[in-house]
Amino acid sequence: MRSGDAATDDAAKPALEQKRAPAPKWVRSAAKALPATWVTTGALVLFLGVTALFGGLAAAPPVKHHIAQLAPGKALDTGQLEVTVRRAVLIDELPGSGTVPDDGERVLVVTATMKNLTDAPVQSGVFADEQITVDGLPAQRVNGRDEVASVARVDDATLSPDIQPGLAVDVAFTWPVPADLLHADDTIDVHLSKLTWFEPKFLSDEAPFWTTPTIKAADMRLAIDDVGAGADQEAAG
Amino acid sequence: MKPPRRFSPLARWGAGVGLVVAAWGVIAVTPDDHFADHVFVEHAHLDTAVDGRDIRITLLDFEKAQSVQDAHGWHADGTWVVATFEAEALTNEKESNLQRIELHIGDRTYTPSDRPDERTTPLGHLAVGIPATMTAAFEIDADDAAEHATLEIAYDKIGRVLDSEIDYDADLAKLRAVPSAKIADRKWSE
Amino acid sequence: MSEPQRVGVAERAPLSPAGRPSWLRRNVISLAVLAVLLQVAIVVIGGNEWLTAKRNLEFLPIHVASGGRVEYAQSTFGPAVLRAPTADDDLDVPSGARGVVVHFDVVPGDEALLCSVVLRETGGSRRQWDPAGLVSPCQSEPTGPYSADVPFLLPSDAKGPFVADVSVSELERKPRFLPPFIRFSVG
Repeated sequence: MRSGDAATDDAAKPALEQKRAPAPKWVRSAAKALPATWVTTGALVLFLGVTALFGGLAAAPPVKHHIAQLAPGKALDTGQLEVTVRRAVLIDELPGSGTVPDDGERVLVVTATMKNLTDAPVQSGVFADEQITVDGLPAQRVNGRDEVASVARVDDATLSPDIQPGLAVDVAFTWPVPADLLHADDTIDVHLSKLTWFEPKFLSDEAPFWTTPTIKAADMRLAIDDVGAGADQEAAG
Repeated sequence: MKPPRRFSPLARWGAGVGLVVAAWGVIAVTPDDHFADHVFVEHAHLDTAVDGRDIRITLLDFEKAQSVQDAHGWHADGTWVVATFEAEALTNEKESNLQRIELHIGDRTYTPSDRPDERTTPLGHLAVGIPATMTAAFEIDADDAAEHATLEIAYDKIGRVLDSEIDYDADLAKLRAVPSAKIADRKWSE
Repeated sequence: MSEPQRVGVAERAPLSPAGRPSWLRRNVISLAVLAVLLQVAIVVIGGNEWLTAKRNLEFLPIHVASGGRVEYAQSTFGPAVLRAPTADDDLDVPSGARGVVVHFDVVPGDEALLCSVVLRETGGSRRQWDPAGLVSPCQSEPTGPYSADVPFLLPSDAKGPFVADVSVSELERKPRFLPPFIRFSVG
């Protein structure tokens, strides 16, 4: 027998009735008729209904990430790297950069310093296209291949360099661009994103790691320096 | 019907406690999720061959340097730790792919430099019975130049399943930095 | 045994064995059914295991004695020998090591083939070696009988006897689960 059943209610009632005024008749017969579980379920449904009415059951709004507006030379902390974008340059070709322009193309270069804030090496090539994007570049090159960024060390032209923990490396991000797309003193909008620190929960013996999806972190507007054929630039490599 | 057997309260409690103790024992001896990551460590000393599973490593040189140069005209300044060693497989060439060479300093893990390209990399397949000499050059943070470092060499970077690892411990503070260390191309040992 | 159930119930109360059919007689039908089912189970389970084992047993070497030939994948392989490298092999042998070349003949059929060769020693630690360099011993578009030369670098203490295991893949066929391979004794 459970406490909601009529039989036990009747048994318990006599003791209580001596201590307080008897409840109105309809309350007593209602209390006898309704099992306790019905009461709690009903209360729950009522509570949820009211919550829903107030919009409490709607999905939580996505967390708004702060997107910094950066000036060139200002550092961005992504948690994984400290990125300082320096300048944008347009040049006919840049051997060793990883970008080889076809006829009708030139090379857009964005230089940056990347410092590894983590305890393990960062492979700069892996998510380069997701972490730095430039507005206005065509999705495909003239020859039909995908437009992808290349990244190389400025000092020795190492392609997609590893950045060891604690060390800062000057790198050049390069894209092939149609020759007539950009000109001297045009500005480009550069977007920097950070990776997500992913901690595998299903297989708990997997180590956590930085990966996509990326979260927008900073926007910056750079003026382009057109150096033409780059005769007075030291060719990398 | 036969009457039910009676156990004294003491016997019942004893059985309950006994089962709890047994359960605790089972949990205590069960390996945790990271058990398969455990490695069998062999400690290396300079100029002495040390064997692990299907691997033999002889550390020839371990030095600190202010700059490094390779055999093709490339050089770089910085804080460098350069380890030169001989490596060979012992029984099976199909699986003898050296993929993990790491320098651990404090919480940090450094990997061999990929500069300027892959031609001097110490990673790769080992031959059975025929040692090759390779150099792993680690570019480290200047702050770590006087710390305790551990060089770890093993086959698998990701799996590590109960496999061998060759370790070499060094106190970098005790090493005097040479002005320039050479990174030779990988070659068969003399 | 017209009504075994009722006989059992009626006889449960008195405990004396007299006048009560034995346990065996009471359960003879169940035992007969059990005997049949047991046989069926053994045949089905055992048969299934045997078929799986038979399929897996394919991954066993086809032994070829020294100088012998074998038919496989509609081609003839062998004989296979171990010879010293010549200048034509262009093998760069490090000091303290020795170079050997596994040479075998192939009379191809119509199949496009891909082969890989592993050299194993039969004694000692049973070490095994992969070819020195990237080699494709078998031709995927053969024009006639040909011979394959596969170079290996061995330590000087590897003295044999050796076997050369040749795994043959038929490119245009559905790959077998665990294909057999040819084991040539090459001395």
